[in-house]
Amino acid sequence: MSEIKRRDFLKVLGLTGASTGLVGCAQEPAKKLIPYLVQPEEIIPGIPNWYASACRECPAGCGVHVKVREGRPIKVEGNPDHPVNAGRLCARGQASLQGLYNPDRITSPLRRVEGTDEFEPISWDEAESVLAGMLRTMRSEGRPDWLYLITDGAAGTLDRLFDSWMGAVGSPNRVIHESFDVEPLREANRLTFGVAEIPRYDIDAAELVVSFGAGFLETWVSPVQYARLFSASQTFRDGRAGRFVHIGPRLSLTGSNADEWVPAGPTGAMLMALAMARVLVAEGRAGARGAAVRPLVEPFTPERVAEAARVEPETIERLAHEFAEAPSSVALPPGIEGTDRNATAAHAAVNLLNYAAGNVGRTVRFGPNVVRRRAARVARMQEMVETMRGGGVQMLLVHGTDPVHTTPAALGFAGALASVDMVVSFSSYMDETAARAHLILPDHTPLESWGDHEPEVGVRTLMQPTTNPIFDTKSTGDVLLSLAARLGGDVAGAFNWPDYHAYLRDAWQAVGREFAPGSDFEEFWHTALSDGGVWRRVGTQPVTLNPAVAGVNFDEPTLDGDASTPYALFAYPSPVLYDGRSANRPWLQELPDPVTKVVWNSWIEMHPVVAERLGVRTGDVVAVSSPHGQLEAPAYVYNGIRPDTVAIPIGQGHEHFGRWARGRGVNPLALLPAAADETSGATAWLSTQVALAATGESVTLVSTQGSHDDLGREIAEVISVPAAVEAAEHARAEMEREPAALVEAAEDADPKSPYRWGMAIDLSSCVGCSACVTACYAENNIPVVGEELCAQGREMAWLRVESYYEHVSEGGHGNGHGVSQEGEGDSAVQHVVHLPAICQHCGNAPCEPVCPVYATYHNPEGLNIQVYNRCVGTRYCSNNCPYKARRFEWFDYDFPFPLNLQLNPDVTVREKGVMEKCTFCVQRIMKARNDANAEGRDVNDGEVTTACAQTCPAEAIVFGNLRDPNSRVSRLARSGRAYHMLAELNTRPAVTYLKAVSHGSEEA
Amino acid sequence: MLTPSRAFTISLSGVAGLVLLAFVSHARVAPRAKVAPQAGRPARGGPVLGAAAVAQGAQFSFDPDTLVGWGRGPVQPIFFSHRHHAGEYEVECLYCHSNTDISSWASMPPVELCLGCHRVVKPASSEIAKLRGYVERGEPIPWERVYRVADFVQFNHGRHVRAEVECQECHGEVEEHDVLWQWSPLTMGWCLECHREPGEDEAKLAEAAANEARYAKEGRESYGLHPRSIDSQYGVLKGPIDCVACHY
Repeated sequence: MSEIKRRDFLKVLGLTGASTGLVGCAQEPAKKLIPYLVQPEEIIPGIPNWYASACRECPAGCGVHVKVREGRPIKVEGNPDHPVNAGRLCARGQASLQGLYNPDRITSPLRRVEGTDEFEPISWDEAESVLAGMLRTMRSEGRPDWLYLITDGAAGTLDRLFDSWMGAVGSPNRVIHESFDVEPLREANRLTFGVAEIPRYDIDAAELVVSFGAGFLETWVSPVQYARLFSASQTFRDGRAGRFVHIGPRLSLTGSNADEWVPAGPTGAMLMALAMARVLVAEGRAGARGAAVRPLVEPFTPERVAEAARVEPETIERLAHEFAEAPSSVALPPGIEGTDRNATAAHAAVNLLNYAAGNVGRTVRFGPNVVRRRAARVARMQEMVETMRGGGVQMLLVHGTDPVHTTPAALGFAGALASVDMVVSFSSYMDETAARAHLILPDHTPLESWGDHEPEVGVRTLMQPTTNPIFDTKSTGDVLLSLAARLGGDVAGAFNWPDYHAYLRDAWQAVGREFAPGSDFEEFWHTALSDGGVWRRVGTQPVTLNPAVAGVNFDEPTLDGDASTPYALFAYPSPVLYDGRSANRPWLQELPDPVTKVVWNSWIEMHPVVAERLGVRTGDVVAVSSPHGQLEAPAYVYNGIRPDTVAIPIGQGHEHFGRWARGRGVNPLALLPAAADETSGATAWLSTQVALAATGESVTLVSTQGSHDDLGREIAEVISVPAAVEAAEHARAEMEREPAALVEAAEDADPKSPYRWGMAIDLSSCVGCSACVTACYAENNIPVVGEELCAQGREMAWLRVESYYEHVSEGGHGNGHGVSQEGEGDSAVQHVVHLPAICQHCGNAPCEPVCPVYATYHNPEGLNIQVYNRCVGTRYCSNNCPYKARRFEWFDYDFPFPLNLQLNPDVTVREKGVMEKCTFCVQRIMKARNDANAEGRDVNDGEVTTACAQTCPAEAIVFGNLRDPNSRVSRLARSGRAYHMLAELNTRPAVTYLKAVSHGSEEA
Repeated sequence: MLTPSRAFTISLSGVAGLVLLAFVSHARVAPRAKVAPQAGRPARGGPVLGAAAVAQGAQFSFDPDTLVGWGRGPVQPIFFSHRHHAGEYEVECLYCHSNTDISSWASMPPVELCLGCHRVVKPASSEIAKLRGYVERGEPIPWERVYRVADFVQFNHGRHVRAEVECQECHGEVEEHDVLWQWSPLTMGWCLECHREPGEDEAKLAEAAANEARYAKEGRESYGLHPRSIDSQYGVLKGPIDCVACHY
């Protein structure tokens, strides 16, 4: 036996090391220079084009501008002119690029290999002729009703094409499935006001916002729009700030922005709303409206409902008084997660409260209604599943929705698919439904498509392709038209358009007549394309109380289960993954959940009391069982949930859906019955109770924030409204004394520089949605590292949103939130402050003097610069940074094709061994300077902004020049609420925070 | 305004494809890139012969694969002569490399532009036949890249053209070369040599000298940053010498 000598071993090691080194080397530089054959007129290499389109990541329908470099979309931003989102976009919208460039996209039409789980690519021609053949047979047998089409509920031209195509083929079976529909609200409005619509809630005009659970800052109806309106109401300004009361069993992201949290029982919202309305009526505060409301709410005295709603009667009375006395108020209905078996009644109760307080027509306005197709009732879905099982569905077309993943397992949709002869999926990705299909005809992603969308009455958004299709995909509109042509006869005759683009243009003739009567269509079309659509103001439609409301049954809804299943299950839409359709975007998987800060996983939230009872801690796996199913998930111990409720986010638990979603977390729909809100037929998400048991196993639940307590270091500060008023007065006096006072020392930037770049972040505006984090990923080529490396603290996000549970200081009303059921444990939750933390670009930066190679230094414009090519990776700077703002590239991270096409060419892609951090989007500063330089002037205020500030739905972040005393940022930096994080270290940050303002609880 | 910032353009039936794949390479930055020995700025006279230069211990890196190096250029798919076009016929650089004054990139002429003239000019030439071949096959011409800055360098052509830096200052007397070769070393030292030259504003220069003197006397404590950095950024020097001007 020959032993390896140490010396030989070292030699081998050396050789291996050398070859590994080679592999790790920089990629080959491009050696070819490829010009265009024919250069498109609008493209100048090196200069981006912007195309207007619409975001289709959720039904809200925000308008977007897509930045395209040399034919590749590289960034999506909100369309500033669009009435829905006014230039802002959420994290999911920012990540739509990773839908376009997802490496797990279906690259061509696929056909299942008979009897296997495998798919084989086929040609479009073959796929369409198979379909046309089947359709022809069905029609000749006189059974076109064997064809079913299931789609999402977006309104627009494609929706109308679906309808008329199904009509022409002869099938009445079009089913609309929208995971998070708002049918209870629509139905309640029909019963209460005789208008089956979804109104606009003017949160911006309300000084008191009372939400009975709607997650309007995360997933409900139109979150970007509502975040903007909410911040307009809540931001401290001119001595006042709105007050927000959140009612519900769980402190959601939306709830975390509340001044007061009333932890009502899981089904307590309806009773609370009724009792509040009753107080208003009984005390004669509802004026003439009282008479009509009185008989409806008479039985619901605060004392009577208190026990069932699990709220003190005094709290109900106090809130009712506040609601009546506020100069303007609005009550928002229970949200998606609060949809129980009697959700329509709960929505009607909130309607009555709004009506009694005189809000209908003022802050609740019908007229500018949300446009959404009516979603199918659960009963209709059940009927369809039965028909499928009985062989009555020969062909099922699925577009824009993934029913296998987004319907309760108890519905049995997945199983019933096996009885369908031909399941056709139009999905761009291998989702749970597509994986069970026989034929997959991948649609373009929205960024490659022609299309339109009607989010609200009076708003028509137009979508145009921002790039050539990346793969061999085909727009579903084109497929339908081509199938019609293949069918021939009357069907072909009904669809006389060469392609969907022509169909869309034709449909817009009518839009042109409506929005620009008498104008030339070509001109209208071009204007609409470049503006991103057309919109007009819509007036308020007056409504009155509908007598039908007397028939509403305000019985308390039931939850499945008994004493053996003591916890109500709150299955809530994930603020970042929605219903799971965004789970294949790695940016969103790595984006910390705004509440728990957990990445890449699912969890079950439980109150500390419950955790103690079970003997589990955060990360311990808990077996959850309901009468309908069971699953296992790691516990997350959370003060912000009632001890009688547990919560699991919806969105994870995919078995398919690409490398990033597959096998990750759990889907709480496995626990739910196929239950419906009795009146509207919508899925009842809150319909069962569960039992919990510790399994003895434990996993690392990776959270990017170690503690939600700043340990008295004043990282995040909250002050009361009176204190904020006083501070503002003081600041004003100071300004009068020395109006030109600069907010920074001369040394922070070069004395001769016209600029010191800085940022102001208003914590009274920030809602914690984390859109900024994703925008930063997109703009700055930040790699995604995965769960394991996040667990080691190696996440790469330059911007993180921290949440701190703070006491309100300086004469505030003390602790506003709290659940202390059963008198066990200290479970108080204070005011939650969301704090976007980035490199502070310190004037006196601790990172700079410790760099041995001068890779980080202070530039004359006050930026703290990191020079990648100088950096040798000692990480001294990171050790010395008190803000934990620096990130180290521990490895070379992949951007698997075609994700690499998204990379911003104006930003260096960093390699292993390099330190990096927020640059204040220096590439944008350079571009603005360059533009200004070409005109021989300085950069103006507002001309340059960072990616995070650009997208912030709450407009909490303002970027600009601190040297200019009139710039927005320097005015904010002189505000009375201004402070610097860890100011005692004398780092002189360029980032100024404005203290959060809280009303606290009025009762304290 | 020279640079249309948000130029909204209406897409016709889908915007142009991903043709420029090689143009923007997203190769990663090599943090410790091999820095070639610095070359002095070559005299404007005749270039030293490539072979001789190599033999004498090359002045900067030499890539045998593409024959990029001192006095030698790569073999291009079409024998295109800059001497012929820019020299003899005095075609403006920006005629073919259009928009170089507004974009950060110097564009490569689209094949269609070449044919614009060569449908009538010298159509019988064998090289033009190659050109027509590319057009007929619908292939772009795979030119060999001659000038390339590292991926961690953000170089802006437009800024230099607008500052009236002659193309020849960096690319050499292109109009005298049949084969294009990398005339300048493209090292950071070489860039800075020009950036560090004094600007032309007499008043600013005088002020800078005064600042320098004051700094020498009072030091950083009372003065602030070193005046050099100030001057570089605000007009006393020809170009900025702040690292972030090119590295971000």
